[in-house]
Amino acid sequence: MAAPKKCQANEEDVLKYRSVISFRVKKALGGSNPDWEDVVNEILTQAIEKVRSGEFRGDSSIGTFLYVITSRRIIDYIRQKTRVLKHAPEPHPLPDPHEAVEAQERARHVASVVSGLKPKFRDVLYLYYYKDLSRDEVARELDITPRRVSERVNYAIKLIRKAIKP
Amino acid sequence: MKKKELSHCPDEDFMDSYLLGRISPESMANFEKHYFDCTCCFHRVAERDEVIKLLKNQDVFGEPAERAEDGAPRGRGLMSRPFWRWTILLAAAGLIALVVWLLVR
Repeated sequence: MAAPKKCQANEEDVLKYRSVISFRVKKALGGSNPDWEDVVNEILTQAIEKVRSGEFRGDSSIGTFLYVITSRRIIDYIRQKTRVLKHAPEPHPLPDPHEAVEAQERARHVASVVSGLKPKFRDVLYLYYYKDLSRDEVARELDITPRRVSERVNYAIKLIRKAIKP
Repeated sequence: MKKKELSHCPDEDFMDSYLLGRISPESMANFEKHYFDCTCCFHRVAERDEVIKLLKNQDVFGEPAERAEDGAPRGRGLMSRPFWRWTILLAAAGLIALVVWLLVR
């Protein structure tokens, strides 16, 4: 019987996952956390070292391998921060003025797109995302079915994405 | 215990639930593991996340003062609900008909 095919990986393969790892790290730590980029770089460095040293044997996919490293590093980071915060709380980082202006610009653009939507789409987006109501609650509020809520949300998101695409 | 893995790419509703933190930690972990291996799902969830973050910005839906006291969007209220709209319109029509009938009589 032939041996199961093993997954091979090199440094370039690992680096292709930067955006996925960044997304996962930002989701776990928060995009405003000033450490997120450092954590991503540490994960990539660790993964590359493991690939070079042959620790990644290809029993699983490279995605699963990187997912495990990322999850472990996030847990370590949170534990570490919790320990530090017990002794002395860190000062809140100052917001980057350029980023703040950019975010405002984008919000203005999206606001103009949203205000151009039909009220039935705007209401669903407002209640579902901004007011944080569940799909069923939105459905009850607007006297429509949850299925209709999904349809309106997905259609509106599609329109917004199309409008904000660079 | 072996975690149950996703056997297929989830739909937009599931992605929303993931991004809004409305699913169990186990389901979250399963999906995260999935999108590390599925480029298509990663792009879908990342794009949706970008739009949702923008929609959560208070400036996008106007100032709170522009809304009703219960936080409902502009233009919403009893009259925007089909059932109430028709009930009120029918009652008004009935009242007018009654007044006309009384006047003619």
